Amino acid sequence: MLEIFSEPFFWIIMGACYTFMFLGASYWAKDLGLKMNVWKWLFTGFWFALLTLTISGGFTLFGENEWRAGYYFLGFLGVIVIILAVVLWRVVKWNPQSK
Amino acid sequence: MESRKVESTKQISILRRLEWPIAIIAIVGILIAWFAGDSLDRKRTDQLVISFMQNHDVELLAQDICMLNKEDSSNYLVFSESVGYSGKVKVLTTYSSGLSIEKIDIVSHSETYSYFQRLNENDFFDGFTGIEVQNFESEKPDAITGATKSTDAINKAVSVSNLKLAEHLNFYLKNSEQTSSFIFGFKEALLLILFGLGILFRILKGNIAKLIKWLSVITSVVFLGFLWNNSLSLAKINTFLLGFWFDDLFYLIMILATLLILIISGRNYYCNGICPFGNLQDLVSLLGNAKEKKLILHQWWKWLQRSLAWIAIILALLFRNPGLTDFTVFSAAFDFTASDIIMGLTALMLLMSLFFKRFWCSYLCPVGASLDLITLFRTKTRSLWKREQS
Amino acid sequence: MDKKSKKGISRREFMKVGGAVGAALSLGGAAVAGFVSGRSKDTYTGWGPAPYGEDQFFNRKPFYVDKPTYEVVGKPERIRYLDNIFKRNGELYRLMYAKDGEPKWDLSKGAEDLPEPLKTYYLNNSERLAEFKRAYYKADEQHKNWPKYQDQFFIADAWSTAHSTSFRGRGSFPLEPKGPPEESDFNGVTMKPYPLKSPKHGSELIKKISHTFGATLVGVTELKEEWVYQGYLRGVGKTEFKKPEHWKNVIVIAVPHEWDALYVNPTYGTSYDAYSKLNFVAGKIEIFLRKMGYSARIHVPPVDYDIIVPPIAIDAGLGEFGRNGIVITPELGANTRLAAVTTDMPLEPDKPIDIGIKKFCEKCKICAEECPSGSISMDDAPTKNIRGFKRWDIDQDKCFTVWNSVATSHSRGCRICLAVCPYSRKNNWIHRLAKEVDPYDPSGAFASAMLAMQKNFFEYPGANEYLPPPDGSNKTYGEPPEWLDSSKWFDI
Repeated sequence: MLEIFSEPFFWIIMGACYTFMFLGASYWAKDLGLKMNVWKWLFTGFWFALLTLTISGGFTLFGENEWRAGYYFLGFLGVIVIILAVVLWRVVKWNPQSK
Repeated sequence: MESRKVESTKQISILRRLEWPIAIIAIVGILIAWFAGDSLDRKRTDQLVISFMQNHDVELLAQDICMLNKEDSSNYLVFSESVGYSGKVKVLTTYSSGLSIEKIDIVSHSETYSYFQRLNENDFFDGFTGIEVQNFESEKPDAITGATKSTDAINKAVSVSNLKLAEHLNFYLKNSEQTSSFIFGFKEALLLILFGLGILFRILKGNIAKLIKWLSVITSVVFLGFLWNNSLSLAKINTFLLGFWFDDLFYLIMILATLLILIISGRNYYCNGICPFGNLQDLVSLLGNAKEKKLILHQWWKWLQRSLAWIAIILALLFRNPGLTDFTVFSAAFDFTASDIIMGLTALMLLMSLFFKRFWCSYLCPVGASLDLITLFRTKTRSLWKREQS
Repeated sequence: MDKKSKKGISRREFMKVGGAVGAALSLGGAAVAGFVSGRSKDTYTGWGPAPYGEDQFFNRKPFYVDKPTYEVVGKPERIRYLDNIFKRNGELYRLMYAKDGEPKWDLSKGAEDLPEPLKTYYLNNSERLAEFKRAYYKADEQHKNWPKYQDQFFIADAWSTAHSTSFRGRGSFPLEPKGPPEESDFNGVTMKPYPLKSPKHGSELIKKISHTFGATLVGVTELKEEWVYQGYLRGVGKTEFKKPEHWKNVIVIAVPHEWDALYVNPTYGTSYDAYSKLNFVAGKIEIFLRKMGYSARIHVPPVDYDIIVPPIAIDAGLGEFGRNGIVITPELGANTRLAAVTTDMPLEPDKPIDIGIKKFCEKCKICAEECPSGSISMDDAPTKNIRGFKRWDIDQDKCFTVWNSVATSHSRGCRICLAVCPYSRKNNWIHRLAKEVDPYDPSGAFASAMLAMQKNFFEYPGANEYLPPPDGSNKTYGEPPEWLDSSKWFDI
């Protein structure tokens, strides 16, 4: 069963998901009234990568049967990711020109 | 709308009026728990002694001291206890009639197994055999690397046994004054500096004050938090109440300075400036631009917080186990050593402080609640004093 | 898409929904991909998805040093064969179960009744003889207890025996040395060697050949005199000898244990899976070298060796010494089993490496905390001077007593210190990240952070739990795989 997810096909689907995400992101930004620039996008990208690695890392440990370690990994990095999410929100909302 | 407001102020005034009697009840409760716990603990030790006595030819000489009669000789047995890494260590020391130690037995302990096993493997216990009581302080076994707290505790318990025996047999014990382990080092200096910065912050104003505040916040989080994990947890307060406090200069400074400033100025410097978890929340609040808020029924929540702290202290005193009811999240935040529930609570508290300044301190922390009690007594005595004056 | 726009969903909204769904799915995908990489047997160390595990080799180049990281504190001294517990015990067994049926010594007797050199040795190390007796009685107990635990562990026992049989009364392969090394090491050499283009070519060739034979790691170094045993030489017997001239170079090979079995030590695992692999790989290298016209002699655990291999593996840059007395390699962690082949083939030696393992071991101590016998030192830094080298001490006698205590059919080892070592983790991205980043951080802060996670997030049963009742509860470090779980396959 699990072998499907190490097939190249799985990564093609993943690629499609990422493409949709990148395409949709700018529409979201506009509709949320955010004035995005390179730095804001970079920070957003960094944050999303951290979120992805946190989830992936936690589940890697689950896969190894290290259940407790997985939960703690998700909990510990999860708190950091959520704190960074709030910081990220404040950063993308920040608009020096409007002041 | 209007009537509800009136009602809530009415509730608050009821609480205000009850504050004083409740505080008195709290103090009395703690005192009762202390003495009840003490006698329960004595009973438990006595039971150990009695069951030992039933199995051996033993005669009780005094509290914690007995005589074991053998065919050709007799031994003194002395019970004593001290605080180790995670609770009490109870030790039975056997003395020969010539007043040298024959052996020691650990009656009970709650130390970590693998650390305690080190003692056995390093033949730590055999190191006591043959030491004369008079020479104990100079010849006692060295601490075992990796289990220093446990070895220190056992050594201390044997010292106490020696004292008890000396007192009972009426001989003078050389070097019996507890050699003080007070060393004023970097840790203690930094703590004093942090208190100093707190006072400086009060005096100065503007950007310099701000700078000082964040400097001390970061120092506290890094050193008292992540590097040393030295904060005033409920377990520490319980240890203090149980009278095992004065062997660590760091905590002695921490609690005395806190109490002193609290009594003189009425300000809680510990919670507001020293506590690493409080400061960690402040850092998170800064990131999240959190606001100062109050829950509805604020006063009721406060009283819930105080009751929780009170119950936790009472239970710890009754069972003579400082860490038994500790629900503070400090070591969970800085050392990850806590139950899963406390770990989850810690995460929740940190996330709360993104939006709500110091939610933990305001509504849950038992340390703040305990210090509140002292503040309450201070204001009451002051107002009584003033009324008398006028 | 047409349908959707007819229902009144604009392109903009479609993109927004698509983007959000894409983001959510990508996170789900990351979770699944992570889970799969955690489960995958392709991430077992030593046997990567590419042939010979090439995808997983650690880049040693930045960490080459001129001197090995072990610390010389005195005059290096060759190890006596009696310093090795198995040689020592072998001598005692031969006296207790003498070939003529007349026991020359038994457990009721003391060190004075032993012949030399055992007598002197045990008179000087009386606690070692006491521990031998303890281990002997424990073995008796173990034997009696085996029927109780047999149902649970009999697949593991059969598996171990299958691996170990290649050692018992050695058949035709690999050849057992007979006579002095000057003869036996050249047994089968029929021609003069072709001139090698350069020693570098020699090293490269022998490494490639060793990988095809099944070695995960291969290193080459010159053999130093101090790594040669004294007092006993295979093929000759008890003798004092100098390092033979033709033991010029040494090829060190390493293989890991079968992953699933490593994680369920001490009871389900075995040492023989790795040993028998080493035996065959080294045996084939030996034949290969002799056919090329060079001398060769293999040195394979558990007992067939005349040199002490771990320091040679350090010289050859495979890894560094760990607190648990094991050579820890960046690829396999403490799950590294070593063998060696001494030869006169001209070879270019590899350089030793320094990736900071000693510094890590000073902080970690997980193996010492988990060791059921408590025989691993808890000292922060290595303090003992062992034959001229500063090391953490291992109490081999206490260690052996635990082999005789755990719930196995006979003393088959323990290996907990291999399994619990933070370096012995799977070769998946998350552990690999930790392993690859740490050596580049000289401050050790990264290592401390990783160690904090290792200690606080992961579960460890606790030292005594690995022992049978009443001391413990027969726990294993991890959960047994289904192929070692007898209740899954047999009616029990």
